[in-house]
Amino acid sequence: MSSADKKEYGELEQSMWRRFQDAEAMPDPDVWSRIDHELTLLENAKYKKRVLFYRQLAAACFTLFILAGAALLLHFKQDKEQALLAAGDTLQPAANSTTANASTSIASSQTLTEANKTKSATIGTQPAQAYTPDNTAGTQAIAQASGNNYTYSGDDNGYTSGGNAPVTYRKRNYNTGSGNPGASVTESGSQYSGTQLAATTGNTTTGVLTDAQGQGYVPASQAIANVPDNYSSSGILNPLLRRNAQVGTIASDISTQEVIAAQKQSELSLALNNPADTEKQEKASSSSRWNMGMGVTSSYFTQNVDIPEQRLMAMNKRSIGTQTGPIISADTEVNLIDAYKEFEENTQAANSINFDAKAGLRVGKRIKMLAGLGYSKNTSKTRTSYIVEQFVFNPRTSERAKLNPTTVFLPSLHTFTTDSVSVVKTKQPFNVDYSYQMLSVPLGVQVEGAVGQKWFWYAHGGGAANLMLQSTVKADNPEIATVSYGPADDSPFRKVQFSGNVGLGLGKRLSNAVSVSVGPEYRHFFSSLLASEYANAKQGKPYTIGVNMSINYMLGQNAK
Amino acid sequence: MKLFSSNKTEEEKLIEGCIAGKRDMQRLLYDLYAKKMMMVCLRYAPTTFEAEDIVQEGFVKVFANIQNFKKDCPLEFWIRRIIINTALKHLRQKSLLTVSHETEEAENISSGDYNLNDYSMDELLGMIQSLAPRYRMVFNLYAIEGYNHKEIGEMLDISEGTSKSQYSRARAILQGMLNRQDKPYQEHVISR
Repeated sequence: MSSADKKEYGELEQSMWRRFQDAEAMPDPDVWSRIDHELTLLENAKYKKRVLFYRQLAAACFTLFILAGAALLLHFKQDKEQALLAAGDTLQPAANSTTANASTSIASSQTLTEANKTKSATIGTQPAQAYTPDNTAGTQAIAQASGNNYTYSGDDNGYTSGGNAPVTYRKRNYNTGSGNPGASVTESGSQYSGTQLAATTGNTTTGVLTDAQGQGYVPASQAIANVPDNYSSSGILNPLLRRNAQVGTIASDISTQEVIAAQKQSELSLALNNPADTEKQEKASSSSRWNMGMGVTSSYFTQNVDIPEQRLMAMNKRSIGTQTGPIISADTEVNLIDAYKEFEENTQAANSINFDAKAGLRVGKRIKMLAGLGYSKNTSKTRTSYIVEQFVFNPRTSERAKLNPTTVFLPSLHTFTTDSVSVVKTKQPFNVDYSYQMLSVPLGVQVEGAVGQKWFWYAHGGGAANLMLQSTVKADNPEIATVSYGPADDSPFRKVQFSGNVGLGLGKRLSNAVSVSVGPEYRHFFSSLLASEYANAKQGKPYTIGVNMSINYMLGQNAK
Repeated sequence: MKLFSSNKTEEEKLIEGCIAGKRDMQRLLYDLYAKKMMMVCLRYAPTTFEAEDIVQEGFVKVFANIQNFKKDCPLEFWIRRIIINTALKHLRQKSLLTVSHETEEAENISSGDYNLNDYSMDELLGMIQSLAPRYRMVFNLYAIEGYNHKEIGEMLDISEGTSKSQYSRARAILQGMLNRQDKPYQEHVISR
């Protein structure tokens, strides 16, 4: 404090300070109620913000999931088409040229470098060479038109071609997977030189050199052309090579063809990551049409119930005879309005859990029909500080009976049919939990597609009839009894509701028979929770948004 | 010392409960300080209703920000500071605090030695509340809360000189009121 301040601070200030320093004044008791109410609103605002955040997060995840799934599908579909087109475009002229003149070189779209040639050539009997094409993820096919005599050597300059037969490499790029590119070189004989080199996807790079001198094969382009358009194997050239081996049995040199075909088949099976197994799996999965599944969905649930704001006027002596509704006091009138406001502001969405068991029937290669049985429990909550007491006058006994105290929710649905109502405010706010248990009969369609050898995507949609098993309104205030309605009770809630649901996700085959899947799911009810005769206010339709996890078992399959 | 540490622990528990949003703890804190804060508000607000509004708004702020309480001062001071700021904001919103830039020097008013024990609290409050809002603010902040004019200038967004000037006028008005009440007071000066 400055000297000027000290000068000013005299006895008047001292006296004032002494008198007011510890002076107290009692605020109105209502001040705390107002603070309490404001704090409750603040808490709700925070809760709403948090819920909004999670809703936005769920929506973002859902959108991201859809986009990623769509991109993935597009990616695989395009690759598959491009691979088939490229195979047809590049191999056909190569085969034609080599057939016409074995000594003719065909310039391909991309020519391998000398080093690559050597490395490819040095594959020889060594299975895995460090050949890396420019476009790494892919398959390379080399068509070699060789002359009568040729030799392979292991050094850089060791590849020589006998006679005048030049060597031509043709390279094709595939994007069939993430595996390392491998090379498979097939040498042709002197009679016919439709040679192919194929690489396949897989986790290991395997080079296979099949010496088939003097043997004739169907040209690669023809073999590719014979591949059906809807072929869905992950290794695009697997069927090509298998088919080539089979077709080879009717080629010129039949006596050796069978041996070579069998040998090629077994070698290619090894080289191409056991396609025989894959084929077996495909066969197994396609042969079984029935499957059973169990799922659980944890969701965010909004009940969307609104109660009408009834204007019950306080009754005084003069208004007797004109009053048609229940008798209420002025305090109750105010409290009732506050209670409605509180219900509107404080009712929050909560969670939903759904279990279901479904049987599926495969009706196409990718489509399954699903039907089953489910159970769901949907909850919601309100924080309130008002208790409604209702009184009924019995004219026979002239006694006034008091009904069980409730929250403002249920009596409002019945539009206060009692003689008098009292709404009192509690000291502490308390929670009211709403619970709706339903038995569901779902029916739906699921579409599936392969993402990899073991992974698959799915998208499903359908509807369900939901039977209300039990609806409960429970307050954590000892004065208020829990109210519960069974299927046979006169309940304000709708007994049967229909809902639609959509979902998609990813799954993994754990074995031939067992697979698991996970993905987001959205369910929307087509009608409000309240029965029509109780829905006095504008009612919203409940919905859930959450994550579904399920396990499926394919009937009649070996679980290995 | 033991009592002090025990009290401190209780206070910490109270604060922790309030941070956790426990309504009973919040109620306890309110019960502890509401009366004192009500008196503070009565000095700043022109009416009891407005004082209660300030108490309500102030305590909501206290509960919403109690996690920011650094414990570098007693809790009561922290609450009082929030209540005072709320009162200033409240009056500013109601345009009761018009900013004036009076540059004239404070009047040289002789200090008297007053014995205010002869006056009831209602009388004293009535005198303070009858002051113009800006005089009332400056008087309260300086004479009772103990802020200096520089701090008051910052709080009310006025210059230090203006604060002094307004305080002098408020003091003169109060002196006049006390003189008119015709109650005895002694004539000696206490320097502080």
